[in-house]
Amino acid sequence: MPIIQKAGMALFLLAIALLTAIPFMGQYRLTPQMVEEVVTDTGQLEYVSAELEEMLGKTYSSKFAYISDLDDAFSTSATKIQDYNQIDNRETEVNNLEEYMAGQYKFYLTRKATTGTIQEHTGLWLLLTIGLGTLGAFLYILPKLGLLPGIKNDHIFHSQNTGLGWIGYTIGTLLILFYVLLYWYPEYITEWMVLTDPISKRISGNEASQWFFYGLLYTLAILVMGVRMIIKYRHSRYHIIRTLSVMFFQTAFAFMIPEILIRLNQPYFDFKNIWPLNYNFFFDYNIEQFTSSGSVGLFMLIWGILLVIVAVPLFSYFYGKRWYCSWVCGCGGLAETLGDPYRQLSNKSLKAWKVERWMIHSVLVFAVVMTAGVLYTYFTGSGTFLFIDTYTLRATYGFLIGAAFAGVVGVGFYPIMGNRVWCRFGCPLAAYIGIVQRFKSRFRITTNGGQCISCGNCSTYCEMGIDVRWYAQRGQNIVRSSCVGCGVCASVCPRGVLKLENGEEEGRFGKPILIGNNSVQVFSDLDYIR
Amino acid sequence: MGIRYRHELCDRWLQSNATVQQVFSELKAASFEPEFYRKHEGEIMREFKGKFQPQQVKIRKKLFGVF
Ligand code: SF4
Ligand code: SF4
Repeated sequence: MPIIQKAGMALFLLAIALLTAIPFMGQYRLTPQMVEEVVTDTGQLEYVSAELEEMLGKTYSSKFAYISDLDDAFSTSATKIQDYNQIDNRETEVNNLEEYMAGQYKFYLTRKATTGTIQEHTGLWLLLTIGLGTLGAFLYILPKLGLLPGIKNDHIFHSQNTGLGWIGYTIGTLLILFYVLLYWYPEYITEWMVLTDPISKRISGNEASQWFFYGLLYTLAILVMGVRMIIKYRHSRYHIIRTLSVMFFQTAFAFMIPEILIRLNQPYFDFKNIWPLNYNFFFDYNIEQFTSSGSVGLFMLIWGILLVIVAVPLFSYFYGKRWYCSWVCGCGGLAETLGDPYRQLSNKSLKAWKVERWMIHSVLVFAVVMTAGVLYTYFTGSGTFLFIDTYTLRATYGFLIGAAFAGVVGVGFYPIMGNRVWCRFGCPLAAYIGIVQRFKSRFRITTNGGQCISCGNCSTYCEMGIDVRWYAQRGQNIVRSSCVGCGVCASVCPRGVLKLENGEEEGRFGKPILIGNNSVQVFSDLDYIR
Repeated sequence: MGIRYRHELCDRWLQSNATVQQVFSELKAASFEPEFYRKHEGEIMREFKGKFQPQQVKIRKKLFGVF
């Protein structure tokens, strides 16, 4: 490894270490104003402020101590409110402090109370972590331009990182930990939000939430690893254009435009996120926001519906699943850039294919039933649909699919099960587009006659676990609902056997025929007699 | 780097003793290059014309590049 790459890797690791240390470096000071700002219910405020009295003005240097005091204060207030509501001749009713609401309060109280060096020297810390990490990554990636263009996957299974070694497992564990904190314990990562405040304030004018921090990191990962992807596959114009496309859609549509909409006092909206992947599109609070935001909101609502019923079938008919999954989608974008080094880890067994089909279509059914329930409640006001409580239904979906599957498993398992775990086993939108691609589309991968030498590169590097070689050996077109059209199978083939094509629907499935120069022929009985 | 052509079509040309004219008129359809790759068929035909002055080679033009 050239010295410059070593230096880049060292800087990158240093940046990651600093980023990991930051949540332990904050201090917390709660003021009465913060409490008033956060706890908006006046009845509850009275109880909560009384319990928080002792914490006010005190400077905590340990997050654990601060949060544990906060926990105590809130659970006492909750019991006191409950006790009060038991009294028979009470003057007024105080809203019970539900667990979910208390969690929100505690999170915001931690977020606002976070001070210390990160707060005071935000810019410096931003440079030392995200800035330094980006620089280190580029120092590591750019020297690869010196290598000859073309596929180089030497020793990919010997690597401790990409071959299920200890580095891979460590990265997987860290990613899982990161997602657990992000989804369920955001109060422990408030320093990261403070860190990205300057950027957030410049774009949307607001303080950064955990989602802003995550979005920023996500976009950076796609951009930096996108550059790597382009360098790695720079002999192929298909990959260059495709990678530029995912980089563009992530930066503009997923990251910038929603934040700018917020700045303009419009609803937050990602114009390329399609239901059922965007599973809360039809949630009551979203619909209410759309319908109460004038023509812009109405446009968003109609746009979102048109994407589902017109754009998906139409584009998938002409170009197959790839127009979305490997050209536009954010999850696909991360998989194709950050996840590219791990694509060979997808399971190619028949068993995995069976599991995949059951799983992904069950998630689709789950998403449809959940959304139907939510809409039923929205229109009729009744909380039960098919004997199920719709609120529980949507909370379960959000927890199991939206957070645990898409985030924790989807990205956390990159170094263990390949980069498309979510897209392959869990994404309801992929299931929907997959049905279109399988039954009504012009897309297929064609195989060029008897050129295949059965090396198996195509199957190895298929991130969706499709056994491409099985088709290539038989000279049969590859028409599979899961194929995201990434084009890597075609690029790694040493014989140029595979080609992604859109063509006439007729003959799309192709007959499994070997075409060699007279090497293999199919004789009918008549041919023998003659 | 090589140029990729469809095995099936090349095989048919060989089997049917296709003439150069016939091959050239189908050359574009025979290309097996990945999408977005630069196509070389035009260049090949120009070169060939320049060197050998063959009889008229007709290429079926696609309407809007689709039909
Ligand atoms: S079959 Fe090829 S194009 Fe389709 S997902 Fe697998 S590697 Fe990508
Ligand atoms: S990579 Fe090409 S030659 Fe190798 S098995 Fe696949 S289609 Fe055949």
